[in-house]
Amino acid sequence: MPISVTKDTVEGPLSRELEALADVRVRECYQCGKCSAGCPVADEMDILPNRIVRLAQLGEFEKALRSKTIWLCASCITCTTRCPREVDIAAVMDALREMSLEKGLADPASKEIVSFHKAFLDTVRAFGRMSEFPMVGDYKLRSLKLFQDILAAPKMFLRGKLRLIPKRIKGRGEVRKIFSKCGW
Amino acid sequence: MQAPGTPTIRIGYFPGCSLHGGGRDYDESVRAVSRAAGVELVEIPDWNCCGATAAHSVNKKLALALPARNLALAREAGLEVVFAPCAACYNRLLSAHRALEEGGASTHDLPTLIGRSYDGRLRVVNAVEYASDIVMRRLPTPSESRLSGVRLVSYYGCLLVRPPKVTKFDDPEDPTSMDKILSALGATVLDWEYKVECCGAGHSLARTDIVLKLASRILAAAREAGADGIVTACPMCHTNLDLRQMGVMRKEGLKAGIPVYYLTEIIGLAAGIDEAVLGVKRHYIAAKGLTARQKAI
Repeated sequence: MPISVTKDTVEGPLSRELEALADVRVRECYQCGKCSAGCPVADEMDILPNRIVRLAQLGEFEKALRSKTIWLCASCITCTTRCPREVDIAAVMDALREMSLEKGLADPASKEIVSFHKAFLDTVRAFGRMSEFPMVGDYKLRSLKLFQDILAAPKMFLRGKLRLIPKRIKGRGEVRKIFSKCGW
Repeated sequence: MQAPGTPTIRIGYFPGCSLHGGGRDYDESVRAVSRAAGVELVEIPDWNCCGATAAHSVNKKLALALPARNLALAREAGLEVVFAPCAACYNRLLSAHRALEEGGASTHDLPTLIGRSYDGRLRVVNAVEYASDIVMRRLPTPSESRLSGVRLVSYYGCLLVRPPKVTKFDDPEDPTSMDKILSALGATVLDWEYKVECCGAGHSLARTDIVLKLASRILAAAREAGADGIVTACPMCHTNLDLRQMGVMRKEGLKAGIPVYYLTEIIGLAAGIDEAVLGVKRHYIAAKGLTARQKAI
């Protein structure tokens, strides 16, 4: 199938949304593949990072937004650092995750990772800080991975690394307000 | 212990959530070496979580607003330098600082979101900068190094050096700042290729399998280099290389582990601070006796 990158594909509404959110110009990418070559989790991905950028150039957002790739990205920023066209691919991944959740397109098989991010932020919204004990509990309920890592907790506890009662900051109300103003 | 004639100074401190939990040993060693160097760490009053990977993964505004509140609080407390020992906190605080510095669309109207103003007159420093620019200059050099003959590799990971536009710190592909500190302390610093490879970071809980795979490569490279220990400046890297090393050992049938130290623990050990005070006993992979090992040789 012939493909063409036209003004319509690179300037569609979703392209504009992505470019504004990530503060990048995906059209700058010339598909050298350096981002995929250096990506530490590329072998786990269903669509390689340079192909994700290609999909964005073509205006084919749905595939990118439903991909496992955007959730597997570990945010190590190696791709952005090495891109010869200065495309901030890590920021593209961030923006696609945000758009994917907002449009309800997040890959169901990536539930653990999505649950982790949600549980982490639930904890911060509630206490103002992350605390391992409530965060892991929230994660387990969301992901239903009830027995995962169950052996780590006593080991952490024995080393004085597990705080059972989370520290609550005074400005919790302020933090909650920040969350709601940011639409989360 | 601080070098004679060196007056005590006050530096802002953003420990971050990890250092109050799983990274408690890091906090203990930071506080111990700071005390020894005559640095009073002033915690940002009522600081909140920086949002870490979770926030920037799902909400850009939140990812900047959460650290921005801390920057504003630091300035309200009259602080001019804030030390963030966690590489992720450092990265998020600095990202918010740069967004506010640039102004325009990238600020997302942060002052309105946090309901506070920020004048930008703050320097955010990471653990390596804190060690080289502040601590090392204030500690006396021992006549004989406690680390001579100890072979170490420095592991920088991702967020100390990337993205270079934000961090503006060291070489993102081959950083040497931590190596220089370890050499100055008298250790033998080994060359290796995994200085800036990712450990899997925030996937530690949700995708432990990925972290085990990435950590396994880093640990194998350190073993092949002949290291007695790996030195990190990030609690997440430490978790993935220390706590998760137990999983790697189980999976690969390894009997002996390789200890993973925080940079501040190594500085403390070199200065003769008791390893119990530095929190070394809290590691999952036995790490005690690094300096004793050297004496035995």
